[in-house]
Amino acid sequence: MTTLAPAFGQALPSLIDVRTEYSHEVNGELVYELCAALVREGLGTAETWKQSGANALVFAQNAMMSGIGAERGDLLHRNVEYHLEVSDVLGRAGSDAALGSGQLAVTVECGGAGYLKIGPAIDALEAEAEGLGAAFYWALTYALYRVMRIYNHDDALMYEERMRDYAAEDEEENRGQYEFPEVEKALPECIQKTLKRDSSDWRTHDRELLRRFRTGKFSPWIERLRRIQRLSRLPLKQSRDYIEAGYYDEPPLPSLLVTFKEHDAITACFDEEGQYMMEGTAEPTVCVAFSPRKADEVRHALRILERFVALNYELFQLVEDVQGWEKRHAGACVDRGEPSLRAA
Amino acid sequence: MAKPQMAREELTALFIQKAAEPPPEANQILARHLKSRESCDLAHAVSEAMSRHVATGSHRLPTPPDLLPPLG
Repeated sequence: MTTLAPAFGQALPSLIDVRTEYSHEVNGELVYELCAALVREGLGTAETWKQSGANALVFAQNAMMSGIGAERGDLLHRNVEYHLEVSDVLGRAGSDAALGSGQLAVTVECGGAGYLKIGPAIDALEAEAEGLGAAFYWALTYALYRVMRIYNHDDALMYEERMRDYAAEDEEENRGQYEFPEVEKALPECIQKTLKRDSSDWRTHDRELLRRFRTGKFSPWIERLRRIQRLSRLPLKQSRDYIEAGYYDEPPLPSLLVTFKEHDAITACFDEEGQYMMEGTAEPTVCVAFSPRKADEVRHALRILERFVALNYELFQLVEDVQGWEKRHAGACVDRGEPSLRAA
Repeated sequence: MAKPQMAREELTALFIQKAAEPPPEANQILARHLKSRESCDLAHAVSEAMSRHVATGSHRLPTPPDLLPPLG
């Protein structure tokens, strides 16, 4: 029995010899230029090249990771989700902002915030000296504002204000359905008292207070705070022009959630707002464009990254120090938190 | 102590050399097409025609009656 048909004269031509795939790396040479720049700056060696299987992308990744270091990398990995990327385009998918010819951009994006429950630490500092907890909180907050986006009482207060505005604009009969977090009431007393300070000398007063207790019981926390402040003040300019041309939908995702108690009003606001944070394309937390051929630009980009990693290293060591201290003092605090959202 | 320094210079030179190397021939063909306005227009036209074809309900080619002999 014959099961095969005879060749049909009008059959489609065979595609068997036609290549089904082509690949082309636009700006592929930039990867090698980046590798050369990393080696010149002491990141990556012949051994790294060997371990990377002579693959330039793997080499660049390993060289940068060697700059971060295993200890710092592990600490960050435990506490926060950062993505470091070097690319020849910027911006959200579909509307990439073109970088100049021969330019690369290094970005750090945050995919998951770290968490600092600072209330118990503030209480302990206030017990040591009145105003010390508040001074610590404000100094840390303003230092972090210079370098990264954080979600704290400020964001929660703004969220509450927006909720109250929506409720006021809504129909009379719908207003009862709104829930307000009552953020200000949920703040520790020392933060409430210092929330709106009129006099301009409070910074000097706080600095004096922190200096006085530098050698006291809480010196490790205050020393870490001082290092964070020093790093945050380094004048390192990022590439804002590229970020503005990148058509991002939102500011960077917060790198740290700062609450006072578990399940407090700030946590509740973050939970509400966090549901929508990933909907748009957020700006990167760090962004700096550079040409791998220009040593000064490479060094500037590396300094920005180094500062960011060093500051985060101090920050998350502080977070773990505070967590450890709280565990050791568990049971001393009788306040179990409060209902996070209250009906209007 | 001089050895690692040499290795670093050699490695830098290797990367610079690789950066200057032309891409493989197949990549060059593709790169030429990507740079050619006519090629890009043609690819765009084909892609649009395919989308239109799918969107308007594709119709299959009829099977030629003598492609397979009857099994009976």
